[in-house]
Amino acid sequence: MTVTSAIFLLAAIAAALLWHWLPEKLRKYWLLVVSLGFLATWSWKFILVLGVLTLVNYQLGLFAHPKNPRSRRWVVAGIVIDILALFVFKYSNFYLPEAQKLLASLGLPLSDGFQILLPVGLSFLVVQWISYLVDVGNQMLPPQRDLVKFSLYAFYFPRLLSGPVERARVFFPRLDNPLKVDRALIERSVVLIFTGLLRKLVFADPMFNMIPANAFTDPSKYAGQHLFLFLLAFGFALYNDFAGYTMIVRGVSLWFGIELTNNFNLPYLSRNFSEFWTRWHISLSNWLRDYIYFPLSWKLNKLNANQKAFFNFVLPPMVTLFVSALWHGLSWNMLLWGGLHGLYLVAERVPSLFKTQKPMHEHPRWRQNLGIGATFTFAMLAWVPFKTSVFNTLVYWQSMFDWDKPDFFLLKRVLKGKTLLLTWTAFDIPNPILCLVLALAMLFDLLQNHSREETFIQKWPLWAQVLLIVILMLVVVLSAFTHQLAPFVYQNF
Amino acid sequence: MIGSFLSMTSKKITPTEKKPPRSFFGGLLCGLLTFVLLAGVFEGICRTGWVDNALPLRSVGNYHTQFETKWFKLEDYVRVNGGVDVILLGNSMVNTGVDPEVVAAKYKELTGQDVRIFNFGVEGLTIAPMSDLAQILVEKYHPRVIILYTEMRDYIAGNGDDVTRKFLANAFIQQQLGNPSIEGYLESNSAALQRLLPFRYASRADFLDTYILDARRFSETTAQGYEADRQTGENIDTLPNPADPNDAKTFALFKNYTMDPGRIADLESILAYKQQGTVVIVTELPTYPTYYAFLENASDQQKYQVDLQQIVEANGGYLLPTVSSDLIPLADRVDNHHLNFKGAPIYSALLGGQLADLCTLQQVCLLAEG
Repeated sequence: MTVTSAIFLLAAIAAALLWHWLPEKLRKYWLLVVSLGFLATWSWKFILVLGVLTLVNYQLGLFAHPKNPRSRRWVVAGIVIDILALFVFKYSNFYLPEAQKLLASLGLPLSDGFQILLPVGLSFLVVQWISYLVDVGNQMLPPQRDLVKFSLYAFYFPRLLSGPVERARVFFPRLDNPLKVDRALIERSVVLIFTGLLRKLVFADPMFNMIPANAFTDPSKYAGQHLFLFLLAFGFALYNDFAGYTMIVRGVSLWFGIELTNNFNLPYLSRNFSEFWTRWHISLSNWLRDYIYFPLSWKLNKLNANQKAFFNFVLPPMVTLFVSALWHGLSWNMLLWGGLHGLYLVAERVPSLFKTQKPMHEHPRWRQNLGIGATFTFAMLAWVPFKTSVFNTLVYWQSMFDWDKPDFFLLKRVLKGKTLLLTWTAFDIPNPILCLVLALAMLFDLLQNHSREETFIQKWPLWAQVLLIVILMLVVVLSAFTHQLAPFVYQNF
Repeated sequence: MIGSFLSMTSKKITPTEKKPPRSFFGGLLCGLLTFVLLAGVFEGICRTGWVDNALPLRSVGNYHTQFETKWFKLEDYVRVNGGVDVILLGNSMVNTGVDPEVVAAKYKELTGQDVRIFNFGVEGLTIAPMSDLAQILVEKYHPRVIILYTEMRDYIAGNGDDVTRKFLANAFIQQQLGNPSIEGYLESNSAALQRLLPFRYASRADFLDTYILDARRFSETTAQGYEADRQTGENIDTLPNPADPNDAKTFALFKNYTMDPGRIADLESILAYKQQGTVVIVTELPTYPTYYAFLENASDQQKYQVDLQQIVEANGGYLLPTVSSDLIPLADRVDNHHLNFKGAPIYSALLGGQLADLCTLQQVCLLAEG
């Protein structure tokens, strides 16, 4: 069951209504039942696997209490167990073929088609559990003794599939003191869900579909102008897909009075990469900053107080982005993606070696706009290795700048009726529908930036709201007849 | 307009002019009502035919767009002509090989009868889905005669199953077969949806090319359902080569040929329409001799023809002898089993003659007597 399906939304409404009807002390149990039910729609086996890991982390959290003299060891043990679980389930494609060969040689062959399924949301849960154990070990929050609440920290259904990554020290208070669900909150939730559906169904899905399946695996088949457009479309589709998902789940979560972390804040309007990583996948970026970047920086500073020393300067951003890359996938292209972003961050810091840098907002407007352009360009280029192999990445980058001249002569003849229109691709002109959707997606972000609110469509004039709703309804109706609901990209992580 | 729009959305409200923001629920309700209203208006417009030029293609949600072309051409044909007397059923060989206008003209010349004939040849369909299609067409249009074009490939178990599965999975088809659903109902009855459905894949990378191709094929298909093939084949008289990967598949298809009982049952279900007053005539298009070189044994073809005759006659159908392939020159063919725009009229005239003979000699006419 995906979060864009009618069944999910109807079931969530029913669950929320019952949640409000129940006495307060029973609500957390109901929420857990609903969450487990949602997980079961994917597979009951996931409940088993994630249930065991939840119990393990719950117990380790109790052992990790600082009053326990060996609390540090329990924290480390928990981190190792969680990372191991992630490795076993997420990277089975990496080790399973070798394991199968080894077992077969020992006379213990695995059955044909044996595979290890990745439980939904495991990648996000692992980072949540690690943050919980570290925070308990650092006395930033007491261990959670209520198993139901701890289970909800893992299974809470709106954020189960693809986050946002919630910190326990933020989530538990929100769970204990939910917001008052009044008309204003419901309205905000509806606006969030509506905007999320718009981003997902009107922007992301069409753009993903309009990129040919072999664009990134065989880029040499396409002229540069097409590759250029495909890359822009991919970047915006990925962003709208994930941002759309986050808005929908945040909206649904508000029905239970629980605010979830905003994950995106117009990342393509970032003025540099330091800012980019405060605007893209915010919950994970903050986790990486707090649990990888800062601890590593502090450790290195302890060894050598000179912040301009090579290791102090280069290692924290590079290691942090490599960890992010590995979290996304165990492959060379992902490491290239992470490495590129690490290098961007390192390169940005180079001027600070020579003189103190002003904060970006104190720079003149032209300088900030130049920063936006440069950050946007290099972020887009880095999406290529995110999507395809290292070899294809190099071919893509090279082919992007090899443009073919569109056949305007043929187009003129067709428009004048002198030649029959046989195919669109004969003109070698980029897909106009893709250009239109991309332009609308960009405009949407610019309007949000101008308004400085993510629920900005709430303030739009009536005619604009009506137009948006009609467009969304049309897309929903047509999607219903294609029997296709494109999955969210980040569900694969 | 954008300027005033932006200023409206970022307008600072001073305390003296504070007013509560309009509820989004109001906008949502207005939007939904507007959508319903627009849908109703569009439905009305689509039923008038005003959008025929702007939106020529229609769809019932089936993956097979050439089937949809035939479906709507037949609908339009019946609306203009008041009904249909003869429906030709078959695969792509029929689609490009039989021109109903030529058949009707020849038939009229020899019998004096004015017959309404429609070509419902659909690419890739074997006898399996054709039996369901025949049911739908007979129940909807009550033709006097069905001329069923069949050939050896129809009776190979598993052949074309993928096409059959996808074709029959369509809610519209299921609705016609008596398995209703909301989707099937809408696809069958909403003119607006039928005009919009061709755009349901607008977000696919190949949409523009596909839409242009489908629109061209729709315009090139005549009102009687005939689609001329402008190609002329080469090396049609060259025997197929088992070592050639292109031919190897067909050799494998015809290996150890037998008629599958399930497929025979499909044929019998079509022949059974005789009981509902529909005459079923079975025949085959004249393929070039190299087509049957794919068979392992030449006797397979003879056995097939004998078996087919027995089945047709046992079930009250009429088997029309296949016209000699010598009568269609090589240059009038696309390949060894499809006729082109020159061969189709030749064959169609011959078919008209055959049907006229059937009428005068065996009193099996395309129109009911009286």
